[in-house]
Amino acid sequence: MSAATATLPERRGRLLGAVISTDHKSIARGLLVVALLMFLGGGVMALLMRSELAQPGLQVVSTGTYNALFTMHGSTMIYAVVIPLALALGVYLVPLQVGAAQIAGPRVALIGFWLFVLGALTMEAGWLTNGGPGRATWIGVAPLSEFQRTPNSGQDLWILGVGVLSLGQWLLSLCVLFTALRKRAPRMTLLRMAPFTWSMVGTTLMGVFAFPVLVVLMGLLWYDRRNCCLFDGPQGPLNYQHLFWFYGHPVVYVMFFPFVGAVAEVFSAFCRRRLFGYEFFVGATILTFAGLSMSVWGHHMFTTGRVDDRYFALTSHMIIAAAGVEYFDIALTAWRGKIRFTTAFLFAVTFMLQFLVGGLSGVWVASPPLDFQAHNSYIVIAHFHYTLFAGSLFGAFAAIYYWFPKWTGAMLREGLGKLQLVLMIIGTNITFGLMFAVGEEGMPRRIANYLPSDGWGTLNLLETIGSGVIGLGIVVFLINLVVSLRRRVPAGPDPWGGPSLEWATTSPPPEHNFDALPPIRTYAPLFDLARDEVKAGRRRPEEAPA
Amino acid sequence: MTRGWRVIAGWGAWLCVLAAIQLIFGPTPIELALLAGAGAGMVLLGLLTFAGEGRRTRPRPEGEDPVALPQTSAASVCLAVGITIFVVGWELGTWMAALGAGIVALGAGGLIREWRAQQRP
Repeated sequence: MSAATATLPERRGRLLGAVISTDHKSIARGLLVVALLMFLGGGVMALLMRSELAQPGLQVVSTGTYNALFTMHGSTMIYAVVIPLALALGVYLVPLQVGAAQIAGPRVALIGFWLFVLGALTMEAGWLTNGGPGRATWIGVAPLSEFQRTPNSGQDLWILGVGVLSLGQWLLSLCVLFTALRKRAPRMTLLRMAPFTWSMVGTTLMGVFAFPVLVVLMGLLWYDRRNCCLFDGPQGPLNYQHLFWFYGHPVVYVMFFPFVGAVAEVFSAFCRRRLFGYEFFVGATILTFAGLSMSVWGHHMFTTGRVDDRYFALTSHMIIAAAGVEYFDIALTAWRGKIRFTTAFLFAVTFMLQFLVGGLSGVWVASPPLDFQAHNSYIVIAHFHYTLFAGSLFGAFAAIYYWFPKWTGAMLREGLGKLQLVLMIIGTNITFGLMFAVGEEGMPRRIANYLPSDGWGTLNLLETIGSGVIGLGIVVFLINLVVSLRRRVPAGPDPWGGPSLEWATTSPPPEHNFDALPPIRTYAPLFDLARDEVKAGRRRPEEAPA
Repeated sequence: MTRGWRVIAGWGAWLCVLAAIQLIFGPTPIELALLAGAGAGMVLLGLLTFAGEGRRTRPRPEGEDPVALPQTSAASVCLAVGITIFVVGWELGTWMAALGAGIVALGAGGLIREWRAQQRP
């Protein structure tokens, strides 16, 4: 019986079943839906901010509301959109890619999911309070977040919400990590795991210690607001920053690695080639890169003058080598490949190009003498939006267009997808590219107002128009979702000819994931199967992957 | 298929190496404690995982998962709701924290019951 013809009690039963289901696919779908809703909310906040900045003076919101908007926009996008998106991909795909029937600790994963949802709602509940939501930036920086400076209960709800949702994300990370390391199918050795699964191993290794640090820090901050003195004195705010950025910098890569893994899979599938330099990708980049990313947090504190800039600049620059290998591996996968220019592939290529801008501007702000110039300016905003929006979110869309058929059994429309891509490329580069220019002109971040004589008006107006174009792109994506789910084009088990195990089962997969597993001899078992079929004469030679 | 402990312990050792390099630059105690602590913690977690892998004596049947699939768990949701209410109760009042603690107890009890039911043949 389809959803449309189900009776009310049946629909209620299904809804309750989804709420308490320990099936990793159901949990991941929940994460995706919540992240999408939060993305729309965070996007509205961004558009409000851009509307305010379109002209000099205060037109749309007050300074206080603007402070709340940039705090909640950052908090929503980071804690409730990009991290959950990354975890959702891992929760759905890692058990499938390692050939497991379920995720490790399915109940723990369900607890983690609900802690995340309820924590995110608690964080956003500040909008309903008299004093408004948290407004001490997305990092809740002390002493700004202390009771004397932000006495509103919305700030308390922000702290408690971030603590609870991070606890949930930690539990989800542990489940994904132990699925990859302990639930693999027979013959699925570590070096036969798919590149995406390895990217999730790197991601969750970072999460094991990063998330608990934030949970404890939020507890300390709440205690400090009720009592006193934990973050007072000359060392107090520095200790807060050390603890926050020890969470905050690895988390930058938690929001990057899964999408690199996804892009690697997309390149492999649409170029019909195995990932180039797989062992390097795993060892030299995923594990080395993940380790380095735990040791660079001090570069957020260069201008405090209280960290050793040399060490943190050294480790930050070492990341360039690991990232470079990653880029070459993915780019060389396309070399002599039989490329199919699908929407997923085009999003993946755009991810590579746009993230490069974010990465190269990262080299700039990882160099202390240059960072001192760029600090607190719009250059920093441009840099991290090129990494998180122009990079990670484009990678997320590549993943969505690639795996949507697996999740739902229906194909997304390619034409609408390409229209969305074009709108988003134009909007993204106008909005965030010009932020480098306005930062270069000296515009500081976190201001609601500026003078006409500052000369930033034209650039800001163009950025606002660009953000509107991004919004249009998102509307096209929503239309694509609705059209594709209502007028379904059936996907079949393997519509793309993908390399890894998830394509060996039905779309969507059954509750136990697989009825039977194909032989696992390499990290691309379905490519092996295709070559065997070519050898046996059941497929044409040109269908053989390289 | 196991041996995953090597990834965790090896990665922890890599963090310890990075912490050792940090020593050359004269780090503050908090800087060293964070990185070296995370490294040591990961090595310990790797060793605990190894011990857990050692306890699994029978080989897993090919193509099967040894544990029956738990399809739903109302107790898990109950526990998550309880934890959140308990924490939000710190802000909204003791009565709410107490209510949250009660729901946590209910959820934990439910989880134990579910676990026992799953162990029965």
